[in-house]
Amino acid sequence: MIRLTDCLLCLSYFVCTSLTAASLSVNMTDTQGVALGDTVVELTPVTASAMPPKAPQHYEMRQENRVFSPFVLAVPQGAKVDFPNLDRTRHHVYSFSPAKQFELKLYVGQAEAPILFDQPGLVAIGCNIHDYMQAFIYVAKSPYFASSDDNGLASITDLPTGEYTVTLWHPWQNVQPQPTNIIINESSHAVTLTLDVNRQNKPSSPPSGFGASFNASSHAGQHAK
Amino acid sequence: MPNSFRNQLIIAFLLILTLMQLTTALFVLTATQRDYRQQQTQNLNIGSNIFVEMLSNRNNQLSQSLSLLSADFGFKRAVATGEQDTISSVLANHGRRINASAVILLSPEGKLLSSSLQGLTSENINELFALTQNRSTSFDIFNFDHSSYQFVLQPVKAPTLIAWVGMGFTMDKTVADQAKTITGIDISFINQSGRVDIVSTLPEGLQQEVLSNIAQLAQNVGNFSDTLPNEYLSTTIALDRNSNHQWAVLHQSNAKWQQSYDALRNNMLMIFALTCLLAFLIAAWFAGGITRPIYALVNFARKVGQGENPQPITGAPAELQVLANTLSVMRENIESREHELVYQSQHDNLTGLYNRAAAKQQLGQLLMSMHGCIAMIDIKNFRHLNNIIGFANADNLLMLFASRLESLSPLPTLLSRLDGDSFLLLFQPSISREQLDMYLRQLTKPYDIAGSKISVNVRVGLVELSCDYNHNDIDKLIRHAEIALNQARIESQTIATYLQGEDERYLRELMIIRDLPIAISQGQLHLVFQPKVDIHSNSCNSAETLIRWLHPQLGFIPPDEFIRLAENSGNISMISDWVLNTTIKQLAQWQAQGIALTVAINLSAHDLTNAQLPLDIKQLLADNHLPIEALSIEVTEGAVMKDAQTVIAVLQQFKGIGIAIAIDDFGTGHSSLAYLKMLPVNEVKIDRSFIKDIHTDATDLMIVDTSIRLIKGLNLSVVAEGVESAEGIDILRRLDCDIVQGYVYSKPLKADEFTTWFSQFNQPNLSANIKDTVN
Repeated sequence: MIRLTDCLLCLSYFVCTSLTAASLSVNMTDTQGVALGDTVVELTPVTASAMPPKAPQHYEMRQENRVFSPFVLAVPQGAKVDFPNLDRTRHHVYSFSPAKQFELKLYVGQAEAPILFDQPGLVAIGCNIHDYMQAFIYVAKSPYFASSDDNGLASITDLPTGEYTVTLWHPWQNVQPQPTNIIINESSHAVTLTLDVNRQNKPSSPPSGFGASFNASSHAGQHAK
Repeated sequence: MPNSFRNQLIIAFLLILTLMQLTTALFVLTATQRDYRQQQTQNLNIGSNIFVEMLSNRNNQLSQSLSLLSADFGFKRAVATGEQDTISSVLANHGRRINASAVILLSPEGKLLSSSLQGLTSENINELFALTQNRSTSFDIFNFDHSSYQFVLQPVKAPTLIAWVGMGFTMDKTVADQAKTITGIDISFINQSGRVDIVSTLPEGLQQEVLSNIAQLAQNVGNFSDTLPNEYLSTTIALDRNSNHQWAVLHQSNAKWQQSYDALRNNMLMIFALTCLLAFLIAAWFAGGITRPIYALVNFARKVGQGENPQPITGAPAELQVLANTLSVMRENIESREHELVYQSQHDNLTGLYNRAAAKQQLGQLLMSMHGCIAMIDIKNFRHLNNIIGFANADNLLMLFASRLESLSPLPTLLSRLDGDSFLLLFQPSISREQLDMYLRQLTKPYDIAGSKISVNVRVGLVELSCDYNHNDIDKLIRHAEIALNQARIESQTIATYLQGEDERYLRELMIIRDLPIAISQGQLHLVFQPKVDIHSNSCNSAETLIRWLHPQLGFIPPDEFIRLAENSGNISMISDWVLNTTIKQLAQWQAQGIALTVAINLSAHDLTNAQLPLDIKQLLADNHLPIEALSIEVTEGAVMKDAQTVIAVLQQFKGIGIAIAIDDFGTGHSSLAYLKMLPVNEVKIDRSFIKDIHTDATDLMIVDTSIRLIKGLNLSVVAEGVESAEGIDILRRLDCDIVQGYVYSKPLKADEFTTWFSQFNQPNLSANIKDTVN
C-alpha cells in the first residue's frame, strides 16, 4: 500500500535564468487530485552550502475556540512561537516530542513567554485539558519551506538557484514520502506535488460546557476555522 | 364370577382409563421433558449470551478505565520520558489503580516497551499487538503461563499515538462467581495450555467430573452436553479463537427441571391413582346399577322357578323394568295355568269332582285322625245302561248323579269320582245305616235324561274307619272299599261292609290268579290219580285224575279254590288243557308199560261250552295211539246247568265219539232229576258227604240207597266217593253200588306210586289177600 514514489508523480519545472532569486509555487494534491492543505514543503539545498538564516519572524500558535490554530505551523529552527490563549478557558499546552518538550499552563488573559524551537523536527502539541486539541509545529532545518493553504498552494520565495531536496510532511500522511530532488534555476517555478494521505477532520472544539455535549447543534456556530 | 358383566364392565372401564391416562401421561411427560429440555437449553443459551455480554461489558468497562488511565497526563508524561524504570513504575502504579493483573506497554509499531509479565515471547507480543489492530467489540482473552487474562489495550496519545498500553485481568473465581450471580449458571474456566487448570463455581467433586470428560470440550462448543458433569446441561465457549486452549464452560443444573418433572410425574401418578379409584367406584356403582336389578331378576326368576310368589321388582332401569314386568306377568300366567293344570289334574273332567289321584291325596290329608266311614258307590249295570241310552246320555246321567251326590245330605266330607260309575265318599262323622238308606233312596230317584226318566240302582261298599288304618293306608282303604263293593256285587246286595280279613283272602286270591300261568309254565302243578275199584269184581280198571298245586309261598292250594278262581278269572281252559295233555301223556306212558286204564278228567262249565273240545280230545287220543275209552270225563251238575242246552250238545258229542261221562258230586247241586234224564251220562258219582258216614248215619244210608236205586233205574253205573272204611264197602256192595273210590283203597297217588299200587292190587294173589282182608 505504501507506494512512496507516487508522491512525485508529476513534477514539472522550468529552468530559471535568474541565479539569485527564484520562487517555487507548489500545488499540493492528494492522490485523488483534491487540493491538500496543511502540507509542509521543505527544500534543502543538496550542496551543503551555508544557508542564510531566516529573517526573524513572529510565529504564534493560538488557542482559539478551544482549538489550536493553525493546525500545522512550520517554523525555522530557532524560531520562537507564542501561544496566545484567546479563549475564556485555561489551556495546558504540552509537547513530549523529542524535538521540543515543554509544558505551558496558559491562563485566561495572561500571556506567557514564547517557546524557542531550537531543534529541527516535528513537535506534536496537545492540550492536557482538552484532549482533542492537537496541532503540529514543524521545525524546519532549512529556511526554504512553506505550508500549503486550504487550496493546496504553498509558495517559497527567495530561492537561490540550485538543486534541492524536497521534503513533504503532512499530519495525515500514510507514509513518510521519499525526499526528491528539484533543481531551481528559474525565477519562478510552479510544481504540483501529490501526497498520499488519509483524510481526517481537523480537530475541532466540541460544544463548550459539560452538558452541551448532549446538544452539539446549538453550538455549531462556535466552530472555528 | 370372573366373567360377570359387572367385572367385565369394571375391567373395561379401568383398561380404557389406564390406556388414556398412560397415553396422556406419556405425551405430557414427553412434551414436558422436551419443553424442559428446551427451556434448559434456552436458559443455557441466554446464560451463555449473558456471559459473553458480561465479558464484553467488562471489556468495555476495562477499556474505558484504561482509556482514562492512558489519558492521564502524568502517565503520558512518564511514558514519554522513555525511561524504563519510570515506565515500569508508572505501569505498576496505574495497573493497581484498576486492579489489573498484568500491564504491558507497546510502541505504536508493536515493540515491547515494558511489561509486568516476565518472559513474554515475541509471539505473545505479536498476539497482543494484534489486538490493537482488530479491536474487537467483545473481549479478548490472552493466555500466558497457564493463566487466562482478559486483555484490553488503549492507545497513549500525547496527543499523537506514542504507545499502546495493555492491561490484563485474570479469569479467576471472582469472575466466575460474578458471572454466576448474573446468569444463575455455574461457570468453569478451563485452561488447557500445557497442564489443565480449572476455575469453577461447581463443587470440587463435579469439577473433577468435568476434567475427566475434558476431551469433549472442543466438540461441545455451540452444542450441549449432559456429561460435563452429569445432571447438568453444559455448553462450552471458546475463549481464544486461535489456540483452543481456553474454555468457559457453562453448566445449567437439571435440578430445577428434574424437580418440576418429578413433581409433575408424581402428581400425574397421584391423579392416575385417584382417577382409577374413582373410575373403579363409578364403574362398580354403574355396574351395580345394572347388575343389581339383573341379580334381582335372577332371584325373582329362581323364586318363580321354585313356585314362590316373590315381590314384583320396581325401580330398575327402564329396559330391565320391562323384563321384570314381563317376568311378573309370566309368573302370573304360569300360576294361573298351573292352577288350571292342578285343577284339571285333580278333577274329573265330566263331573268336576275330585279324580282318583286327588281323592287319594285329599284322603291322606283328611284322615289324619281315623273316624267316619268311606262309601264307594257304583251304579248297577252301568255298562248295560250305557249301551242302552248311549254314551252322551250316560255322561249326562253321570253329571246329574254327581250333582245329586253333591246336593244330598248328609254332605260328604269328600266326594270324588274314581272312574266310570265309581264314586268315593267320605263321611265324617260316620253315616248310620238309616241315614245311608235314606241317602240311597234319594240318590236312586229317577233321573231326567233326554226327556225320559231313568232309574238307577246303586251298590255301596262301606269301610268303617278305625285305628287299624293310618293315613298312609289310603290305597288299602280304597281297596277295602272296592272289596266291600265287590262283595255287594257278588252277593247282590245294595250295601256291603268290609270285614277284617277279607282283604287277606282277596290278596291270596289275587296271588293265586296271578301265579297260575307261572305255575303251569314252571311245573308247580302235578296230577294225582285215585283208583276207582269195581267192588263186584274187586278189580281196578279206572281212576280219577286230580290236580295238585304246591305253591312256593302259599304251599298246598286246594284245587277247589284255585279252580274256582281260575273259572272266575277265565283261566280255567288253561288248566283244562294242561290236565288233558298231561293225563294223555301219562296214559301213553302207562300203555307202554302195559297198563290199561280209563282215567277220568274233570271238565269245567267253560270247557263244556267248547264244542271243539270233544274232537280235540279224540284227535289227541288218536295221536297218542290210545283207545277212545282210555279217557272219560266228569262234570258237575252246576257246570251242566249254567248253560244246559250247549253243555248237553257238547256232552252228546262226547258220547258220540265214545267217551264215558260221569256226573260228579251228585246230590249237592240244585239240579233237578229231569236233567239226569236228559244228560247223556254213563255214570253218576254220589258225593262223599253222603258216603263218609254211611255206616253210622241212617239218613245217609237211606239217601244213598235211594240214589243208587234211582241211578240204577236209569241204567247208569254208580260210583261212591269218599269211602273210608271196609264197612262202607260192605254196605255199598250190599246196596249194589258198582264202584268205590276212596281212602279205603288209596288216597290219590302220583303216577309212579299209582303204578306200583295198581300192579300190586291187580295181582291175583295179592288181590285175593286184600279181598280177604276186606271181607
